[in-house]
Amino acid sequence: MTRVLAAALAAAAAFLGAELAAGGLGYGGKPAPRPCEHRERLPGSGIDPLVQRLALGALDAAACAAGKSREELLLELAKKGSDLPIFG
Amino acid sequence: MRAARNALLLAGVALAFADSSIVVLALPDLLTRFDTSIQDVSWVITSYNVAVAFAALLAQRWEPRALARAGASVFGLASLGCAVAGDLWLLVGLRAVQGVGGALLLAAALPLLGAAGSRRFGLAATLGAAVGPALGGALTQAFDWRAIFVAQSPVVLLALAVPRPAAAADAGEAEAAPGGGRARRAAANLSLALLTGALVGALFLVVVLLVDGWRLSPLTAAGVASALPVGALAARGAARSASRAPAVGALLLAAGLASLAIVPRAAVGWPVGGLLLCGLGTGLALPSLTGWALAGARSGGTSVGARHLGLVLAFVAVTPLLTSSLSAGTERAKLLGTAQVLDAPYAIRTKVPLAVDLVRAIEHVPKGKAPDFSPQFARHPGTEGLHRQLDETVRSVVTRSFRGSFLLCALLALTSLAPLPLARPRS
Repeated sequence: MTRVLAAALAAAAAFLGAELAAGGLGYGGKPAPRPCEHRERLPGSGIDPLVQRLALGALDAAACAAGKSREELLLELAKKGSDLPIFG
Repeated sequence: MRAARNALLLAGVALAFADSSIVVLALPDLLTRFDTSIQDVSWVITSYNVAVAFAALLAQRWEPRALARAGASVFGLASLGCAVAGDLWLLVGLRAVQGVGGALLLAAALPLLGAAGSRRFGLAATLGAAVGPALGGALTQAFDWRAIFVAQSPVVLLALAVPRPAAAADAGEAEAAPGGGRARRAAANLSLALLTGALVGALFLVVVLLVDGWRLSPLTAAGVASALPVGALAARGAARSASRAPAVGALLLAAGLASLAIVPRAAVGWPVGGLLLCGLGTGLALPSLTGWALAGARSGGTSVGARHLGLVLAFVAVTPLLTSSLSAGTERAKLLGTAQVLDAPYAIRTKVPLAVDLVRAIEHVPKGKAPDFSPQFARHPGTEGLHRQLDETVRSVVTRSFRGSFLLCALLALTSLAPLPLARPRS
């Protein structure tokens, strides 16, 4: 019976090892964007991506000056602007 | 005839233990039906466990047959009352009454079964507790949350079939059983309380994660949760013959809970594996430990009280940890999701209306529940890739938010090892 118990403990250790090997420690741990962090340029050519890059650049600059990430600033603005017609 | 009556009594014992967690998969339904908060609706579980803990401790001095009859009647009638309750606080009150009935039944069961029945009592208690979430989830999905209580009301008939107390020779055996002695029983009960507290992770947390975090249906979650009783049943043979079963069981339970804390993906295979380990650990540890705690005891009241007290105290410890972790996780998920929307390779005419829709949707997500963005994305064709990304972000962050709570439960399982040397009976 001791062998059965030892086998069960070994199976548990193997299962935990498999989870760690599959990246279990890091899952869901991606940090939130930080203020003034360097961002990848939005890819694409043409007017639309260019306008978006300009808007995101302006948002980045304003957020960095306020000590926030651009996502934090945008969500704050969305919250403040929720009374505006665009947010229904 | 006596064997049949004993089997019925053991079914009642299993059901009274199952009731600790049987409504956990019905909580989302109750939340909607009574239009209330998660904190308020969780009293449907807490009131039962608190009532069992205290009533079991107080119910030890009464004549066991009368106690079992009263317990079965109160439990069955309160179940019927729960099934027709039209108000949340009436349901909470009736669950407490049901808990008092369950406690009387459980406290009386051991003297009725005799010393020879203590292991069967332990097994019924283990399987009952393990099968609770799956049973409740299946009934909720197939019918309605009320079906859980309707299905339990026939317990009242058990009052007509309570067996006579075990023979005097058997009772004598109980007094002389190895491991008797107050200090040993107290150590066994302490270990039992810690181990049952650890089960909060396998009985409640994992179910909440699957239903509210991963948005699985109650039936699918019940299927995953059934890995717990499967593991407990698989451990039956080993638990009967190994004196190290409680220690190995506690280690396996701790490993299972730790594995739930580090699932590498939101896929059901991982929690199934973790719950199998938890089931193996529970099936190994609880029946033997229950036997140790009951050896020489006149009633099962102290042991039942210790188990439910452990469950309630673990709830009290885990709830604020999970709440604060989920709150921080929600904020992080919002920021990560916003970054994904901003970086998505879509034209402005798609991105802006979609973002506005998503902001509106987030404002209406019930607290503690992962958002379902399907209706918003359905209005914006061609955005399926972002939909999948956002869902995965939410699931992964919510899963991570449960880590501390699972690890706390694993720690409780490990702590249950400490009193074991004092609890082990002399052979």
